[in-house]
Amino acid sequence: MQDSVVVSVRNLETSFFTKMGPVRAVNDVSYDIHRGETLGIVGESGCGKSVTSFSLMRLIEHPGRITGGQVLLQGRDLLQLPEARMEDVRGGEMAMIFQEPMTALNPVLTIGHQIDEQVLRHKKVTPKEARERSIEMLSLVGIPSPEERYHNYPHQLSGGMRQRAMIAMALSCDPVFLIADEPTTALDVTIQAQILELIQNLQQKFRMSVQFITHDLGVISEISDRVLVMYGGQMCETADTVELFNNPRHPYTAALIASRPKFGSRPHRLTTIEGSVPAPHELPPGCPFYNRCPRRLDECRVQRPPVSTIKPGHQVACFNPL
Amino acid sequence: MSAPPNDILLEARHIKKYFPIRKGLFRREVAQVKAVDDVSLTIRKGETLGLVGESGCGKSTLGRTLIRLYEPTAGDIRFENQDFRRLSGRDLRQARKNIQMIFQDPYAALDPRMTVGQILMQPFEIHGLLNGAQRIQRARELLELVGLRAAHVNRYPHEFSGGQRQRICIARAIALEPDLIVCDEPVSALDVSIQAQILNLLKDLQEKLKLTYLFVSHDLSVIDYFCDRVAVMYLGKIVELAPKDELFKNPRHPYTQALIQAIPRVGEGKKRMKKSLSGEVPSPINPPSGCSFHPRCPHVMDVCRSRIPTLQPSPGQDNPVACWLYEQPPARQGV
Repeated sequence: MQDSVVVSVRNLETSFFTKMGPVRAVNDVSYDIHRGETLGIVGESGCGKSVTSFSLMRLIEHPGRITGGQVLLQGRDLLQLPEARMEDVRGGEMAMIFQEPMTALNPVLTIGHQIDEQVLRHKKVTPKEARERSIEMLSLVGIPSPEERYHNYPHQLSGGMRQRAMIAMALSCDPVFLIADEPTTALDVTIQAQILELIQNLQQKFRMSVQFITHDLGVISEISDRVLVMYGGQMCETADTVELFNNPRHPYTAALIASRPKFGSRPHRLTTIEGSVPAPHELPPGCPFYNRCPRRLDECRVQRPPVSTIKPGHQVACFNPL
Repeated sequence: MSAPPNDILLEARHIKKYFPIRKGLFRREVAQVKAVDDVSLTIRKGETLGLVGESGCGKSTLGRTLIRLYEPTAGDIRFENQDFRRLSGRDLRQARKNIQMIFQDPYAALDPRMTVGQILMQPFEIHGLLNGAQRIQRARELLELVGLRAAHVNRYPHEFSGGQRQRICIARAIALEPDLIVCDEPVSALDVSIQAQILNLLKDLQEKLKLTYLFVSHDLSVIDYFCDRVAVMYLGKIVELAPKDELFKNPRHPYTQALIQAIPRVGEGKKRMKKSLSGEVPSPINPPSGCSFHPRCPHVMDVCRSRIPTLQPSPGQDNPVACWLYEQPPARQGV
């Protein structure tokens, strides 16, 4: 009894054309997100998780370019839309919240002005109606005395409140799909818990699909229905959240989970992954994890492991899975 | 060596660190930020004491004040049975040899114009130890001790990854064989897979060199793994101090309970979020009256609004906690 697919990413490929030659930051990534579902994308810096999100929004800037694939939002390929139509989609059907609300909000305009602007752009409303909508949204995300906050500038709000304001803005035009790019990374744990709770409540209320990006395994584990693990611009593994954390099959996923200090269990030493994430232009031709993998085979060096389904809903890109 | 007083490496009593806020033409002092407000603690030889709390709670300031990177506004510090606050000149430099620091951002903590060898020889130059050839030799040994290659001495910091740079910072910190190392969020800026490498390295070095750590972090999972005892800070004060097992199994202060509740757990699957702590950390310029946690506390009582609960210094097994729930609020006690 699965809900309909809202977002379908097919063989997405994004490259950056740098002085050192082209770099594939996202390499053949495919996934679906259903209505009301949260897909968590997890990976370390440089794994391509943010570039994937920006590609979906078509916000890749020079020298980067989306070089292949499809992004279907409710059946329509966003990559084929003219830019003017894409502007209707951004902030309308599909919205995004970012890690650092201070840099994502305009410091010289009031919070209210910025939300009004978006509502006026996407909905057929009068300025007065837009203002009412903005205040309604501010109160929905739990900002106290929203009528007064409406007139505040971003710097007058705390980090947690700014993130709430950004969520209010993102949801002001009833998007069907929300991308959250490390929205709680800059926040303290008790504030992080508040924001995660807010996102979950709003998601249920509006039956949104959410793509949630983070490097924090704890956060991803608590907020996602399904998880996609990325490394070196490629998919390693995707599965239902409980399955992925309790039965990881890709050596990278397993190592990542083991290297995180786990609450309540205290091994004398943590399991580590030797070496460090290779720079994008130094990726080996085969599996990107080859250099650090404890289970590597000869073929991994030259051949990229294809994504294969090892049980329903659980896919792994590995020649020698656990 | 066996008597308890000798076990104590550093003892701080009623430490305060206030930063002035100045305004206007004459830079008149208009207010104070009470970053650390009356904190007492002891650090025992060979242990790792964790300092945990949210941003702005004063944990980094306390770490730096204890080793006099910031001069305390008030309070006493005894380090290795010396009155550390009275030391100056040669004596201070001598004592500082035994205290080192590792910072959060390994990109900012290394001079980009110096080679790794120069960076690692500098501690010996400052203290006038060893001759030139010995210094180079020692720098090479230090690199190997932290898991890098001796041949790296001629490279510059930008040639290394974040995790490798943190290893260089660690090598510099252990160069003079200190007794105490203050680690200020040493793994927060690193990727998950690299964090584990650095934590393991710090643990190995602690065993090998009999180091004592003061470990400042906002990450409770890391604290849980790494520390022996933990002090929880809120708005410039320690609210609870306990051995780690005790703290995580049986947290007593409502703030500690909320912090532990808020840690995202790995592998338990999506769940409805439990009720999280409401409100935000108030400003240390104008902290709430009484217990500074009272506006957010689920167990707030009348007494909390007017009186500051005290953290009793801990001679016994009992874990001190600064909360009226655990103190009889009699007619005339506390302040």
